[in-house]
Order: sequence, then C-alpha cells, then structure tokens
Amino acid sequence: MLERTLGCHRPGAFCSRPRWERRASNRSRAPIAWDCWAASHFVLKACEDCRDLRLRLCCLVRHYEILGAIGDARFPSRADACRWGLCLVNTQRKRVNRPVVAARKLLRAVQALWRSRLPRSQPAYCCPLSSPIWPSRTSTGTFSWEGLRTSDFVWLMPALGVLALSLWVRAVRWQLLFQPETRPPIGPTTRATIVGQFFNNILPARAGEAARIVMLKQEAGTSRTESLGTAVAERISDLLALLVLRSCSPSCRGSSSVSRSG
Amino acid sequence: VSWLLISLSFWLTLLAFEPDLGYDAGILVLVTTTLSLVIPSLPAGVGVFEAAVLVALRPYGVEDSLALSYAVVLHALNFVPYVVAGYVVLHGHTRRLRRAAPESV
Repeated sequence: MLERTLGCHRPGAFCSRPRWERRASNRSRAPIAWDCWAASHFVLKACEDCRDLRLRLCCLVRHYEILGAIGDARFPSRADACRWGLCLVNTQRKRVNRPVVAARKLLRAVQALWRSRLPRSQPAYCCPLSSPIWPSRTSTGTFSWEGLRTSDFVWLMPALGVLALSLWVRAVRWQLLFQPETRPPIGPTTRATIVGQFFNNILPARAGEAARIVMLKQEAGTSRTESLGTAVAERISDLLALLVLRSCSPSCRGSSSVSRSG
Repeated sequence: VSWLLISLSFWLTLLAFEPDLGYDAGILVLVTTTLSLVIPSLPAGVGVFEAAVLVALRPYGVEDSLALSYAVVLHALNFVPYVVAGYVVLHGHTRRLRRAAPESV
C-alpha cells in the first residue's frame, strides 16, 4: 500500500523483508516491532519542514536497500528516520498525545521567535549576567571578576550598618503612622518590617506587605484594616519620596553631563 | 530619611568600586532600581535590578562590567542580610506562637 501510494520504487523492495523484531535486551535499539507488512499501522508523518515527502521516503528506502545489500539489515531507529526527514509514529504501541504535541510545537515556535527576534530588539543590557546562560549578540555588560577583585570591600561594612539603620527607621515610620491609641510597640513593628522584607525578597509581587500585616496582627494585635491602611500610606509616601529624590538628583534635572565629584 | 539612608548605603557600596562618584549617583541608582522593580520579574528582581543599575551608572561613564560587578554586590547586600534576618525573626516568631498556644488552651 505504501509503495502504491508513493510509487517511488519497485514494488516489494521495501516490504519484502520478513518480520523483523528488535530484541528488547538490546537497549541501544528501541524495543519496537517493525512490521513492514503492516506498514499501514505506522503513520508516516512528514516533518513540518519536509516539502517533498516522496523524495525523502525514497531516499530512506534506498538507504535500507543499501544496508540490506551490505548485510546490515538493521532498521534505522526513530531518530535515524527523523534525520531523514520522517517521523515514524507507531500508533499501535503508543497513541499520539495531541496536547503534548501541540505544546511542543508552541514551545518550538516560541523558542524560534526568542532566538530570532529578542537579541536584536533588546538593548545591550538585556543580558546583565553571564553571556553563556543567555547568549546575546549585542550584549556588552558582562560580569567580570576583575571588578570584584579590585574593589575595596571595607566600604561594605558601613553600607550594611546604614542599611540596618534604614530598616529601623522604616519600622519607626510605620509605627508613627498608627493612631496613638492603637500604636504597636517598636519591637513587633521592627520584626514585622524585617519579615516583610524577607518575603518581599523571596516572593514576587511584594507579598511581604501582606506578611508583615499578618505578623503585626499576631505580635501586637493591631487591626488588619488599620495596618493595611498604613501600609498603603507608606507606599504612597515612598513614591513621593522617590519623586523628590529623583528631582533632586542632578543627573535627572536635565543636565546632559554628569560630573564626577571628588 | 529612610530613603536617604538607603541611598547612602548604595553610595557607600559604590565607593568600593568607583571612589570618584558623588552621592547623587547613589540616589540615582536607588531611584532607578526602585522604579525598575515595578516591572514584573523574578522574585527579588533578579536581572531587572542589575539592568537598572547599569542604566543608572551609564551617564557617569562607568564601564558596564564594573557596573555589573557593583550591581551584583549591591543586590547581594540587599538580599542576603534581609533573608537571613527575616528567617531568624520568623523562626523566633514561630517558636513564640507555639509556646503561646498551649498557654491559651
């Protein structure tokens, strides 16, 4: 039937082989029973980029004939068949999982789009970390250990101290936003702020805000509604403070050149 | 005040890499990184944070590789202490709650 359908080589050349079975003990070969007589059970599916299926199949069949002539009648594996441009799917043994196939196709399309378009459309800093992870043709910002080696790490200690101080200031600020009657002590507020930062760092979408409200409720018994209100007020004040800082920054006031201070 | 302190911390970290830059560089890095976290990204803004630092330091003529080193160190400085302290505090909080639970029963 296959030859009649394709009509590409002499009848019987392909299907005259006896039933050939792969031995299950041979792990290098897939334990699939290939039955040439029951070729209709195999769906020969052209690869998506295969335009001339007949030509590819003829090449495949001739390849088998050559193998048979030299005494090596091994039927090629599925990978070999795919290399020749054919996907042999055994419908008897395994049904095609259409959603999975569709998902793979979609994934391949996305990967192709990613490879073809993204590196060109993204700016140079799209790959801030190492290039081997995300090779980018336009990437200029590559991580260098030289920069770390030449840096003066003594400055990190005061930086860390100032960061801790800023955390405490934030806790005080949050505490002051509560009404005097319901104002929580500074200890639970500080702990809730730290836990909020912890969850902000490990969870997306600033989930730490909710965590610190819950924690303050458990620690100091404050109302969740009031805590939520103060958290929103904090965010608004943060935004205003950032805008003020941005307007104060000389590089953002419209000056084209940014000078280096001594 | 807290933002000024954080920008001071950013600037002190920056001094470890570029001693010539002024305090305004720290402010600009802080503003850029904070605003960049609005972009949906991985937790802790991995990638976006570093890109924002690169963008912020570009007007100052800092090399990208050096700026990236600074960004990685700054990100670690703003991630590791918070995570460690947060874990410790959360652990203590859980223990306190467990201890308080039998008393309330």
